Amino acid sequence: MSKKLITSPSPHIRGRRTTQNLMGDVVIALLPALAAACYLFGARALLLSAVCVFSCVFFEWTLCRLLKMDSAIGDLSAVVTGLLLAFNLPAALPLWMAVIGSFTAIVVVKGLFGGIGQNFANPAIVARIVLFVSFSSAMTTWVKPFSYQYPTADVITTATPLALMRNGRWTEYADLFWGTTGGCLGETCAAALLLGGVYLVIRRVISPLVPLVYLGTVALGAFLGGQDVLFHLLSGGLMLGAIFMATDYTTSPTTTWGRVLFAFGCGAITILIRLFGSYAEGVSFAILFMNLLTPYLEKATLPRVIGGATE
Amino acid sequence: MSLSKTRLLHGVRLAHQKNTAQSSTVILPTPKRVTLPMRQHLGVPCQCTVSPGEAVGRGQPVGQCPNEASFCSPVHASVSGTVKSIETIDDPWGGQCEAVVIDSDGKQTPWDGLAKPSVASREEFITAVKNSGAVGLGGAGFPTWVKLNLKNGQRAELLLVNAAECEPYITSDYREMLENTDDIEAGIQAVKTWLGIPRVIVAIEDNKPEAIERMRQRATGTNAFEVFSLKSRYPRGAEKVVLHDAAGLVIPEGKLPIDVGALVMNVATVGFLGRYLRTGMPLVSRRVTVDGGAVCKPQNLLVPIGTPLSALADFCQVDSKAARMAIMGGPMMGVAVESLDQPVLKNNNAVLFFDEKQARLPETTLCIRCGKCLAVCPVRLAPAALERAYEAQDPDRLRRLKVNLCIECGCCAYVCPARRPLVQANRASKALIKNKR
Repeated sequence: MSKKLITSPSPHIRGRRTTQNLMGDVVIALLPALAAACYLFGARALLLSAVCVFSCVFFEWTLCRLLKMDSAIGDLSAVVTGLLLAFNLPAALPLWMAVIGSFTAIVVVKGLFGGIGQNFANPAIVARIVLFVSFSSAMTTWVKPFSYQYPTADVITTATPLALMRNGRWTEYADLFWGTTGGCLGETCAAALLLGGVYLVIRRVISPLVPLVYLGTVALGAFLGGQDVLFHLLSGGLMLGAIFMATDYTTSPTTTWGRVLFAFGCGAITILIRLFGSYAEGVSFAILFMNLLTPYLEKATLPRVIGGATE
Repeated sequence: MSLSKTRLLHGVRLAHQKNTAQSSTVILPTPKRVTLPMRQHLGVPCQCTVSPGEAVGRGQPVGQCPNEASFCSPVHASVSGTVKSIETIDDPWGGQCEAVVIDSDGKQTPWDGLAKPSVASREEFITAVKNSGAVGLGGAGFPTWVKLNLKNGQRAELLLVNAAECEPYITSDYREMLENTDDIEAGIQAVKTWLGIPRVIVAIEDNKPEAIERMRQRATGTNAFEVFSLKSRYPRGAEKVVLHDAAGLVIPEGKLPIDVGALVMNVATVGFLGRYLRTGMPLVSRRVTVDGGAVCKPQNLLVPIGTPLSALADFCQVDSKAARMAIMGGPMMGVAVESLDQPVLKNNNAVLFFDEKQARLPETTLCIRCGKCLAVCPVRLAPAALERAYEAQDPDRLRRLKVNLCIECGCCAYVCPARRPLVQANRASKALIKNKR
């Protein structure tokens, strides 16, 4: 034994999963929806996504440098945030606005609260809401799918299915499922999002509990409200929110029952806003509100320790 | 008796790595020198009863309990030869103790005073167990006679023979079941008879079908015990987990298995008792699995207690350039030692030599609150919350979160994607609570 033996506390073997490969799996799960966005909204969708990802990674890197911390960009979490932010933006949004969104997400929401694992709310959702309030016109200018194929320089716009429904106009299920409707660039294609969700469940990155309870609650609410259940499930940001945003580790409870309550709350608030609110869509606000309740839900649902005496 | 409502406790699926399962036990050539620490058990150290220069026979007591009632187990010479010196060494319980160093004469002459114990009553049985030097051979090192010496009012309804052997690599209990089935049966009969225990369960993980088959055949012949097949999922062999899964019993906070009417004994301990009652040879050797990435010839060895790890390494052709870590015990709960001079102890069921790749220390990053630690903890603690409470040095919060119920199985740290040292934090938290009290 020429070199000194290594000593360290047990366990001496570790599982395969690391933060980096968990985040890598989320990126892979987002790729079908990115491909769908490029198909529906053209190269502009890819450009906007690239700007969001690069600016998020840049802000993360800069912040680590300024705060003299080890660089955290290798964990890929900034890439996930950038992609999710892009998916929550209309394809025609000016690029500089997207950069402001990235700054909000990475610096204000995540970095200033201590970095990965410390933020109280989902960075991409807060950034979306900040942009929505600041630039409400640009944030509600929805590009008509395939309009990039028309020989015109102007952006052809349309309304989202939820807004159309409020005006009494129907959107076909097939359009909702394949994403050929107006909306944020990553939220319209339910098929691609579901594909990503199945991948995350198979890879055990997320438990199917949160999306199922979230979707189930919305379905129940729509049914009780006398509206079309399938329409509500397939429209708006629900699939994106239920599969990718409400399952965010940091901002949702870690306990099983905490997760159930969290997803139920998200579903209930979403459908209440859709049925009675002045906005047509409620996913972002619902998840943000439940993010704030996460510490309390978790505390209230900690499991009873086996053999633990009650005090 | 508090019965559990849940069927199975959590845990993690590990690669079994039972590479040595098919290798029959090989007797290690008698080492030139052995080091016998006076503390190889939970409790107080023995007092040394020999002096340098004295000739000793195999099986001769070299350390005795300070007094009759001591929480202690005697230590015997594992080789015949001459006492070289009495030294002070580090013991695995974090303290220091004396150790008797014996130079072997290679003859393995048994001590003159050895005799087959005559047992005609419970008291004589307990005395015999005490004289045998038996401790829990599965790893805990609890003095066996203390466990079996029931106090007034205590009654054992169940003897649970723990043969789960849930840690990767280790096959020493498995080989005991295949090679020493008679001794195990005799040990079970003795404990059952002298303590008046009506029911005996032998619990074995279902990744050892041959052992289950062997023990079941034996059980149907005699009706002395039942065999329970545990679902293979680490840590099935932890005392709390095996009692829960095989018998539905939950040990309340701060209590022992006997408080719910159960005795839990490792299968190798039971086998040893059977052998001791037949031969009178105290605990001077034990079966040790030697395995790991740096081992060219992984196998099970019958090793004199006190043999330095270097002798095992040489015999199993450990690549001395490749070996970067030596672990006494399994990869999940074993102790990584600093030097190969460390002797094999009574409770040492395996020695692993890890190569560079296996020994590489993981890089710790920030907790991402994924909740995986919570999902695998067999006692349902919240490891991430405990680590935060430890960082805040908050003994009240640690107590509320029941850190003392942590069995240190390592599941949380194993699954943690951020590679947090969660078990280490819990150990430190227990010490923090103890010191603040």
